[in-house]
Amino acid sequence: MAAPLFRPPGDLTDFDGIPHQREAWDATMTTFFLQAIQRAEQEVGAGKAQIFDAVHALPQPSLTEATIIWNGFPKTLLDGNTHEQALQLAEQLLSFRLGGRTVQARPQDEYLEWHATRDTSGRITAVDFTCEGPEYWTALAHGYPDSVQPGAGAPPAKGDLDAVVELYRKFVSPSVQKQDLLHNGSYDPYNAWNIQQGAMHLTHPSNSLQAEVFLAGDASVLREKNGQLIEDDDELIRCAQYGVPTRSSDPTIGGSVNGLARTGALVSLAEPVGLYIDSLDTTGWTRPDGSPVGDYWTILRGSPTAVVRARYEVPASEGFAVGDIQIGGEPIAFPGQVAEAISMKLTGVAGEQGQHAAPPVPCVSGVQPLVAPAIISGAPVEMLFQHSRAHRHEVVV
Amino acid sequence: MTGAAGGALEPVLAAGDIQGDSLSGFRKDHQHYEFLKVGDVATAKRSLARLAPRLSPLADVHMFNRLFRHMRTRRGEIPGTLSSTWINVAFTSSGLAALTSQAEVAQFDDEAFKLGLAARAGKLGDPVDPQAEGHPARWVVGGPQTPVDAVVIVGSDSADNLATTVTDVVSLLTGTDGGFTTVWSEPCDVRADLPGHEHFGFRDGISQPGIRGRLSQDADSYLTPRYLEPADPRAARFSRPGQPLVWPGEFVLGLPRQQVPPADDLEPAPAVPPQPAWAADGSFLVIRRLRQDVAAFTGFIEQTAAQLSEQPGLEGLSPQRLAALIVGRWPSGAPLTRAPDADDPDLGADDFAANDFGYVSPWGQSGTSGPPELVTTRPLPHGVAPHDVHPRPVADAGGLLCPHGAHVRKINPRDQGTDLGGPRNTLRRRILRRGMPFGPQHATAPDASRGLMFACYQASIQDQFEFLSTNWVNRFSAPRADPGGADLLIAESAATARRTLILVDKSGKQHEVATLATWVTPTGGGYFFAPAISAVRDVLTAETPPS
Ligand code: HEM
Repeated sequence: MAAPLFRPPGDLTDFDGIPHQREAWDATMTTFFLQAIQRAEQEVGAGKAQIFDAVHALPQPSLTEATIIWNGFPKTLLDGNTHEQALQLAEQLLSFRLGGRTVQARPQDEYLEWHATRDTSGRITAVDFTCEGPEYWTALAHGYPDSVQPGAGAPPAKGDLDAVVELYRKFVSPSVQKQDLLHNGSYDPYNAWNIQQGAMHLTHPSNSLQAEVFLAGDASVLREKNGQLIEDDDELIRCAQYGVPTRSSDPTIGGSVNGLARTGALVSLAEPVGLYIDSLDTTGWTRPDGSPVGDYWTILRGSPTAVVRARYEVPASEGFAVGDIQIGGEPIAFPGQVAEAISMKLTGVAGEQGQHAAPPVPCVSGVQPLVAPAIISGAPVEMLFQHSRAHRHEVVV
Repeated sequence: MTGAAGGALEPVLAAGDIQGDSLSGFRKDHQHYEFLKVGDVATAKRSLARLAPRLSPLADVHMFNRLFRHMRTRRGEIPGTLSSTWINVAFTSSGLAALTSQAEVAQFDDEAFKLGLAARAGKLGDPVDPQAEGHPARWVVGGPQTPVDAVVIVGSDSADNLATTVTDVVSLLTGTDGGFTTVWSEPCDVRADLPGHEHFGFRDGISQPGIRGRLSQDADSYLTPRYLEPADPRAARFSRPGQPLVWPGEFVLGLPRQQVPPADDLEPAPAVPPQPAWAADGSFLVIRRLRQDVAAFTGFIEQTAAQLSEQPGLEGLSPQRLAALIVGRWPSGAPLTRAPDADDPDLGADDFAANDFGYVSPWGQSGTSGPPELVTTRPLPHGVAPHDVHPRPVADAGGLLCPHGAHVRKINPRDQGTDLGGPRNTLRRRILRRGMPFGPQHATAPDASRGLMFACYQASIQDQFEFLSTNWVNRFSAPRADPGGADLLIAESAATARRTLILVDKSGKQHEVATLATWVTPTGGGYFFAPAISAVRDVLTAETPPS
């Protein structure tokens, strides 16, 4: 029997026809987990990490799952702003320097990003949501994510740029040309069709799959302060410095993983490893005539339990558009109002409870050095990763 | 400057100006809600001007509550021997617009308040069918056919004093020189048979946030007395065991607020200047008239317990225990993480011990391993023992003892993180509950209408009452999804796709308790703003609206 492979997020099938592509994805994810394990071992000692590679572990422990939920709208924008300001800010692109050029990305940092389509009067007619990590797309284009340098023995996958172009045409616009998606001859995650004109996959620098795996790994380490085990999610993220503490997602994910680890279990992320759209709650949304809205939510990519792309759009037969819908009497003027009703999820797993408790370690002090030189497509975007170790180690060899 | 327990010095509250029900609570056995509509504006302003000096400020209400507490501690139960009667007033956005202007109301940073409860009912999960009893079209007060501009709340320890004051106030406001008309009157009383319990039979009003703030320049003139020995590591964050301190700007506009977590909340975030400026020291008040169908609730409990008790893992599940699993406390108030198998009336009678528990850490704060030491210099409230010798709380992250869907856990997950991040975020979602039962107890008049006049104060209806209702109570997977579960006590079936409580037995196996039936039906209410007394006097009654 062939060794099991890490499955693509949402069990997407785009890799299937590309030689060695699924093996390359498996190698990538295996590397992410290996790194996560090494990071944890630096804290607790070799062989004592509680994070593990649940796909390749032998023998396979029996696992229990824990679903972790967070809100899809950026909490960092809500804090300190009025609601309306936050909704506006969520639509203003960030600019930053990357590899000698200025690129833009969305400020939407809860692993959910969106793009609204409006008609000539400015009314919203559709909102596309994605939670696909950039690594999947750079891998589909070239075989491996930009942040991964395959070694000599790595599966010789080369990706399929044409497949990328086809998907953009299908989901963003039929007008997409291959050239539009390239920078210096390579697939450019910051291309206009993914930023200004649409949303094919995640772009915020914190929204990466690798960051998710590192966060889980870092959070698997038990922490203590003054000899007392830390159990509080806020204290944990302050102590261990994983993720961005003011987001909804990172403290929740980290705290939940740490909670699993505190049961003395091996912990990991459920297959297929990814971040998913859990649900949209339209309670109290009304049509122009005041009656409740119908179901205008279409899942476009991923599996029913692991949704990675969805669209909110009123069918033409209804005779009105998204912008005519009211939420508790407030018209939908910003796509963020839809995002606020979206719950995101990922699933943690735990096995062999009680058998792996590593002793808690003290809090991280000061800023951690990078574990290895960066081999990303550009320079790391330091300022965006303040307070965040998991997001700063954008490095894979 | 630092305060007694090491944190920042707490702000001095405008105790003579803030209306007392918000921060101190009337805490009366008898209370009356008079819902009003403005008729002739000039007349209404004149009668309101005569009411203004009679409004009860925080200082009075607080002082009386303290006296009452001291006497009760010393003498035990003292029904009828000490009495005061309080009056407060609050306005809906339409009421404020009538008394000031639309432009003034437009400045409030709370869409929910501006649109009003009836417009938000669907979002709260109320029925969308206009024929249904819970639809605003059928509400007795606050619906499109029964619009409301103001509510006057009168509370008293004595039913006679209450009656006299209500007659007086109502004739002042709705008599020939009143300018208001009555839309609905609601008398409320504590249950004579079970004081402090709501109609399903559970003790209510145990858990409230502790409010930071002082009444004078004295460093320790705290509004909320501090009962923890200063050496205890919890003393800086808790006023009583299990009662976390929250900066007052989370309840009253224009005061210091909670920090953005995980920043340390010993320091406040600076106050946000309120809009309009005269909203300072005011508080938003939500009132929901919730009819309770006692027969439906007990019928469901009995039938369902009988079914569930035959499932392996839930053998012997009694109706009482199922009801407790739905509420998260036993009828006495004893919490499930301290009394998992049966009610513990002694525990329920001790207000401190009954609220001293967490879900992730047994005592609600990591790094603590026992109950806090209490000060010996201050008399403890009636029924509170100086040392907590009750069964210790047990950590329950997975919801084996207290289900994730239990009412009290759904609406206040305490030390457990949520879909918004770590538990400190939850302190920015808390509300000050001031509800009272209405209607006779079920046993004496089974066919009468009864329920809870749910009332709560907060600085943002959107971020507090509405957030709790829409994002947590009504959603199956929030605040936690492992395993999650609906709040069967109050969630409405129009809102929840899954009105399903998940019970986890001792082996970790999950059992679903699903129903479409409901026993709590909204029948009225409103979103109000309770301004500072000076704002009522100087702004709302002014002949020309503020510029
Ligand atoms: C008829 C409807 C309701 C009934 C019968 C009811 C009953 C109860 C009971 C018995 C408790 C336990 C006592 C305590 O912890 O203080 C409680 C707690 C609580 N209830 Fe309700 N309740 C109702 C509606 C609501 C509503 C509509 C809300 C807000 C949206 C709400 C918010 C709370 C909160 C915040 C707590 C305290 C939880 C804690 O801090 O642990 N309740 N309720």
